[in-house]
Amino acid sequence: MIAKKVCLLGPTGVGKTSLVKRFVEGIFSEKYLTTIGVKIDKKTVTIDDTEIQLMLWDMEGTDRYCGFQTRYLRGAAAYIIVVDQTRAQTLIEGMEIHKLVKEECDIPSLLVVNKSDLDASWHWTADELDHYKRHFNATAMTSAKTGENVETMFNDLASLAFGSTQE
Amino acid sequence: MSQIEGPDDSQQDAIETQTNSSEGIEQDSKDMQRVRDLLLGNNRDVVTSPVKQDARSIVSEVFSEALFDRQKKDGSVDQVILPLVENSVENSINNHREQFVGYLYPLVGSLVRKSVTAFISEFLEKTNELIENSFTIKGLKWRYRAWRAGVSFSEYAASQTFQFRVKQVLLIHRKTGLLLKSVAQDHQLNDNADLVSSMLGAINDFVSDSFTSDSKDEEQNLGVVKTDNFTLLIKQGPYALLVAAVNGNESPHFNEQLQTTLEQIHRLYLNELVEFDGDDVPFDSCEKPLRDCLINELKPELETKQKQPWIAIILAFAGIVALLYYLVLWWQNESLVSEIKKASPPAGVIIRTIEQDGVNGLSLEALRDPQSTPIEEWLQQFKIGERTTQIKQELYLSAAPQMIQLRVESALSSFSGINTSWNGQVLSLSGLVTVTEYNDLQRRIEAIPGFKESFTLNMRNVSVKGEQTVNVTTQQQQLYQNALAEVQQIQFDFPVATTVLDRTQIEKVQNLADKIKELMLLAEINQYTMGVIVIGTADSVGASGTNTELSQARAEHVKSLLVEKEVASNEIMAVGIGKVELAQVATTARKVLINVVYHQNTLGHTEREGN
Repeated sequence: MIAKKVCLLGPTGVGKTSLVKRFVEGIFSEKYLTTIGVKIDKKTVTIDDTEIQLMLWDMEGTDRYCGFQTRYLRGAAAYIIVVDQTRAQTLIEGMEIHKLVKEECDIPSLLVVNKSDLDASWHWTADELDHYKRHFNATAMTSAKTGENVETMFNDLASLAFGSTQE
Repeated sequence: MSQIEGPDDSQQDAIETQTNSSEGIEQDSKDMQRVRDLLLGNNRDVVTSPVKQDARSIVSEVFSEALFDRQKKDGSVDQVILPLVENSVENSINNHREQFVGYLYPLVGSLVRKSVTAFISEFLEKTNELIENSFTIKGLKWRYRAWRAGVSFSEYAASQTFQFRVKQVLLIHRKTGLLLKSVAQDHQLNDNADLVSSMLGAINDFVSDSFTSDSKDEEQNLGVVKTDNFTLLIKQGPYALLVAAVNGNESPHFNEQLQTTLEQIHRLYLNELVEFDGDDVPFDSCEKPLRDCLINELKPELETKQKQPWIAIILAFAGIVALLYYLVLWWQNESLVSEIKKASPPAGVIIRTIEQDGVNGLSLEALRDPQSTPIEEWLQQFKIGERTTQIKQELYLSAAPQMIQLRVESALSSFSGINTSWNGQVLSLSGLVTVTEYNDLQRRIEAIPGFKESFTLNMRNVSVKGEQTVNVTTQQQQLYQNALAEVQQIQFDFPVATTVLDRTQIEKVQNLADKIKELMLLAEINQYTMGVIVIGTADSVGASGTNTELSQARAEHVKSLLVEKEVASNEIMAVGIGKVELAQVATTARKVLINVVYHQNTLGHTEREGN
């Protein structure tokens, strides 16, 4: 079977872990997130008749004051930046993280705007959003609460990872 | 040319095919030479020269693949290239020694440090085990066994210490943390091996990042993760990690084996490791070397424990038999104790306690009248058998009628002429004795404790003999005299200036009353008339009149007490004589004295004083 390492990044409280919980059931406690900064789950998806096992590295939420463990990105085939549409600041922070990741490795990226079940309360216009989205290989609107678009988003991520060339 | 070139290519292929077949060359060389001559004649170079011109590009296109295929096929490429490379490296080192030292120094330094650290850590661990086991019973056993086996203690201890079981081996891609191959003793362990691998990779990264030093050359990696139950041994390679989950204490040999296996995998699968893109299929063939690492080293002791421990079984059986025998003895003894407790002891014996003394003996505490049956004799009726009996007895005088009778019988045994007859509460004696014996007999029988309380003595049928024959009347008179003496010797003492007896003196009143009644009985038998005079006295201190009153009051007091004890009032006279004027007793004469006036009745004869 083909296995791919993918990373989930984003500011604190945007719903990364909730997205993963929607998608998989793992064996590790979420305490890992606060102890070593990452928790790993797995999910097998099928892309073009090929089974791909995604190893999801759910990384501790980052903010402007603390970076993230770039070493955890090593060997990743793709990554997700998760932001929260109810908090405008998360997109700015997400973009900063995206920039940091790009400095480390050149792999496909996916922008996920989470909490689509709530009304968007940020001030970004459609044009501004499109501008940001252009920095990513793909984007998705998800709701970890309702499960909307979550499966599709991870399938897209698997496709990106499967099609990518590792650094 | 084009017409020529077409056939030339096919001919060249044919030629190469032929060339590759040494047998064909040998067998057909002459024929081929002839064919070449016929086809190409003297213009052979026209064909070969273009091939030679393009040889470089032709070979370069397939060079790597050809080497790979040939190496895979028979490994001969190694054999060819190895000496060349060795020579090249040797020459290079000889010519550029300084540069090589510069390249290798950091590597060798790090390697040496790691090696020395690993050695010291294993040495310390081994030493700790040795110390722990040197001063225990197990340590002594090991010393003995090592001595018997002819090996050093340290060798034997090491062989006993490093017993372990490798439960799972994981091959992990270093960069991605993805699982390449996993083998386990228990297949269930493989279910989450991929997650564990990734997490281990993450933890390794975490450790590296947290503890790394400034110099990138000294990246810190996890070597061992140890818990109470198992140890994770982690061997780090450039592209892969080899992780073994071990129960018990792994041996240094196993560490070496893991390291060797990891190196072997790097050697065999270098390309696959470098180009790994998530597909673990190429590593399926790693199963064999990984499975070789699933080692079970069982202690020889454990194997021998599978054998039946006959000695222990026999000892246990003997123990059970002994226990049962003990229980039977205990039960028999307890039954005997219960039987004895239920039985009535002989008269004059009171059993205070009886209990088992071990399982083959009795312990008994009792009170026994000297006249009663000995306890040992009584116990004979029970099935004592060989049991030991410890009897602790205290002597006492029993008030049981049987015992009093026995005592009487015993007392009478020295009087040969006396016969006894028990009639209810009356002991009737008969026979012929001397006067002395008569008195002695009466005294001794009445002195027997409890006799007076339970029995009445009848001695009317006892005849008295002497040197002169004494008739019955004389005997009775003698008895009267004896009783008279006893009555008259009784005195009561009073404290100064009191007319009432104290407690100890009052107790004597009953005795006096009994004796007076007995005396009256004897008086009647002897046909005497009698009266009792109770005489009160006083000491010489004080006025005479007062003393007379005191003495009179004392006499009246004693008389009243006697009347209470059913002595007829009209047969007692109380008189106070005042102070006693005798120098010897004058100061202590606060008494009441008893005197008896009697005389023989004479029919029709009555004398009166004063007439």
